[in-house]
Amino acid sequence: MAANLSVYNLGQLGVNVDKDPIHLEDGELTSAQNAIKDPLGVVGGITKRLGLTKFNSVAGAGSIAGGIGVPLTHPSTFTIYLGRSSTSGGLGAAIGWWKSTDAFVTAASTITSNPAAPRANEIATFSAGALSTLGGSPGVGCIVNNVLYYAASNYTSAAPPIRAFDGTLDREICRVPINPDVGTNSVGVLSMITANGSIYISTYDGGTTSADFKGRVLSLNPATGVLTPVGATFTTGHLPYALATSGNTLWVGSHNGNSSSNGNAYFFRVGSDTTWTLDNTFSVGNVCSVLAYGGDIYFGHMQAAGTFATISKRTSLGVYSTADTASSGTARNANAYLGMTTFGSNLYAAYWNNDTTPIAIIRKFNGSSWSSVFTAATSATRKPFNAFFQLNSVLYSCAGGLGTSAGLLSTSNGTSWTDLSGSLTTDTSVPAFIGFYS
Amino acid sequence: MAFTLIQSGSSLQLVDTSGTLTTLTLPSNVTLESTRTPRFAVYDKYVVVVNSPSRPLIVDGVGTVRVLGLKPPGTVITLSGVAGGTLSGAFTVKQTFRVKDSDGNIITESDYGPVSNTSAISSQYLKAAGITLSSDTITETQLYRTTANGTVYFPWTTLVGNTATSTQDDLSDAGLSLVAAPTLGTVPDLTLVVEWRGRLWGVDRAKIDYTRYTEAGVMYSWPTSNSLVVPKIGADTRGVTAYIPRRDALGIGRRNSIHQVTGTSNSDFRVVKLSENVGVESQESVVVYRDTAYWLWKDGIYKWDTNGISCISDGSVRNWFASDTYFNRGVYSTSFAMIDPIRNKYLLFLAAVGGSTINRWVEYDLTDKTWWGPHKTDAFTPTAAVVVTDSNDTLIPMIGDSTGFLSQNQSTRTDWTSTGIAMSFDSKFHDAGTPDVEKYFGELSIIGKVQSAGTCAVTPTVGYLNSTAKTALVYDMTKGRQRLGRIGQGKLAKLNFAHSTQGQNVEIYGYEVDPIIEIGRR
Repeated sequence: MAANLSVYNLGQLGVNVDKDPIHLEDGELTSAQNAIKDPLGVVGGITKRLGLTKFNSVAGAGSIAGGIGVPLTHPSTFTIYLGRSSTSGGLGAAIGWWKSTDAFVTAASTITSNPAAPRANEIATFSAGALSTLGGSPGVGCIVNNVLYYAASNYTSAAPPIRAFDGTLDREICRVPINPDVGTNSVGVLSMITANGSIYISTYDGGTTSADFKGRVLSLNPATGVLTPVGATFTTGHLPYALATSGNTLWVGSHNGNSSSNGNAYFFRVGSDTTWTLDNTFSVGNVCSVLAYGGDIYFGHMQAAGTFATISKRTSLGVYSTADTASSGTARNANAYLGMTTFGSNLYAAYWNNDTTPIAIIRKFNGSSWSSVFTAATSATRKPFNAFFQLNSVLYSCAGGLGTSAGLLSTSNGTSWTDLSGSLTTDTSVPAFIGFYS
Repeated sequence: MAFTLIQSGSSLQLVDTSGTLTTLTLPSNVTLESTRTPRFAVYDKYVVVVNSPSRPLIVDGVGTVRVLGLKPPGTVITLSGVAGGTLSGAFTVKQTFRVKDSDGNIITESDYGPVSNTSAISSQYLKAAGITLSSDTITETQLYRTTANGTVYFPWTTLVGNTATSTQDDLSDAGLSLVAAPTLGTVPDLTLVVEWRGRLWGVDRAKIDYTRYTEAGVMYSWPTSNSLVVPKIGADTRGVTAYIPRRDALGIGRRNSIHQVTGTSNSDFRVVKLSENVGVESQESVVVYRDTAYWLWKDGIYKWDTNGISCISDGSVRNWFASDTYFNRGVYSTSFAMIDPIRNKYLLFLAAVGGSTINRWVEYDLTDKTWWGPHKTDAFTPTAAVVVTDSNDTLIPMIGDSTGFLSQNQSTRTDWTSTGIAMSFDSKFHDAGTPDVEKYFGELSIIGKVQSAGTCAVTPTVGYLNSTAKTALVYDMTKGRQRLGRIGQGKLAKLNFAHSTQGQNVEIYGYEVDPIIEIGRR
């Protein structure tokens, strides 16, 4: 008797090694090394398995013991915006931003809208003349969850706006309310800082001299845009120029707009206090910068001609002392420690002295000793560096005010500094900045 | 962009979507043991890495590596009163260390150090001296204080940095935070870790019969009280071997049993036994896909879904796993697996019999429930299976190897650049329904996809089960369909198809033998 065999289901039944040889079905296989059903799922045929190609062209550091694909954002592109204003006058009128996608290695592009221009010379009544290095400390913008919150410009006869820019969309989220102790719109935002999920905004609410300046601090909930006063208006004449946080404690260093008088130190324990505590009345000048470092609080001061500015340290026991005293050149009017930051395990402070040959120095404190890690040697960097910002493990310092063109430095180790000023157009800088990642 | 984290040798490396590697910097005094398998869990915006690091680690999207848990303060704070303040009462203080991110969120906080002495003061500052400095990199020290004459601790003051050894304050009780001090605990030396229901679950290397778990929503808080026995204590030397995290059930495997955690909170978490005489051999063999878990035990592959636990290899490939013919059963604990979400397969990597090196893999088709393999490659030695997310947010299955490469599928049938793929498959012994009848097996014809080049060897074995193979016939794949001639005489006939030329594919749609004529006297 004749028959025939037709097997057209090789890719349907797979391997079976449990049945004995004569009980297998046609199409079942007893082995299928590197043989699979069609990988696209077509029923019927059998094919060779797919080949394998290297994903990483360079070998890893050794045998791959394991791994995980992570559905989290790994920043691969960093875009930096730096506030920009006119060189006409001290702080100059706001223009917009510089934008760089290569960390200012090449010339930055200029942005005049989206985001809106940051606050600049709206506070010029306070930061005038030699004091126009005072753009706000640590700055007029801060980053929360990769979104820039910043004080915007161009609000004549209106309340100062706070805007948010997420890298694509720029929107106003609130405006600084009228201080009832003043009764008119605030003059402008002095400084902003973020801590513990909130943003703290210090404002210059009114007055024109150290006799009647009024300012306060508000907290901003970035999720809702709600502004809440933090304590009351500061002592008349003292503006909350410099902000810092230490845990839940908010610190303010005040400035009364005069290089020959003194500021105060205030603190406010968020969640506990209802009023600001005047912690110290300085006798070493107004305060241009504040920083918490190593359990202590550091205050950078401004001094008049003839006296070098200092940095004061407040220990956790409440004891004040001088931590560092400037010494370069001849002490000129408004020589000051304009900015401070921590980078790695060190404190960095930017000192400015508008000497005949201007002096710009960045000082480092490693917890035990101070040293100068950058001294400006060219006209491009002999500028008042008044702010620091960090992105992607790089520390930047920008200079602005006094009607000079901006300066920009960067360092990845705190020791070797690169002058990036040439990547900026000849405008001056506003201490507002953000690094976006995507 | 998503990324992939791998342990390569004794380094942690970040792989971007283009395959570029970046070696990450480990925290000071932390090392990776290259011979241990790293275990990972994603929690919040961090990847947790345990088992191979000398201390459990967390890695963020930027690639910053931190320790999951900080060492707690080790010395007793000295409390005293200092003139000048307004605080009165008896107080004690505890200290922790913290690491915060740039937005002020707590990344990790150590367990509490020892309680200070009790200090009774009257209209004074409360001074804390002898504050311990951390040997880890920290952002700040946090002190917690009781209310006057109280026993409940509340956050008191924060010391930024790691240098301050004393502080003082006269913050009133009313000024303390409304929220009491959190429950904390030191992170154990974890061998296993998994995220389930907003907590991390893990096994302490020193307590292998227990599962530990964190406080809800806090990956660094591992109170010693958050511990459940996975019976039986001391039953074997491996203890808990695997976690099986399904959507609403956390399975826990031992070598010989499967358990499940029930409950939703610290007050009602319980461990119940699901099955005896089924366990888990290797954590890395466990894959949960679409709420169904697959894993290897001693005698096969098991599945756990809404219908319970069942063996999916019995009846087809039980012999692969339960005999000593195919794989080295002694090293099942080193097997690893992954899901190929593109082809809908469960791939399990094993060591061939006679060796302990992982060099084979089998695959189970989740769609039609068929088994394929065992496969192998001559290009490299597989060491790990990783599902990578590419730049299109697509999941790509990849095989890690002993030389530090991840390999992904490519349509070209070549492994790496020049290694051919040795394909070989065997048909059943065809008997035309009469296995005891001598037959004449006529002409063999092959039907396949027309290829641009290549031949495939088709080797018939005709006779009985113990007959030797005949000379291979050559199927010209460029023809698509080809008649290869008569294959011979015997009771049974089977075919082997083999091909290994690099860059050439084989696709066989089917074959025919015509005629088959019974011969001889019966």
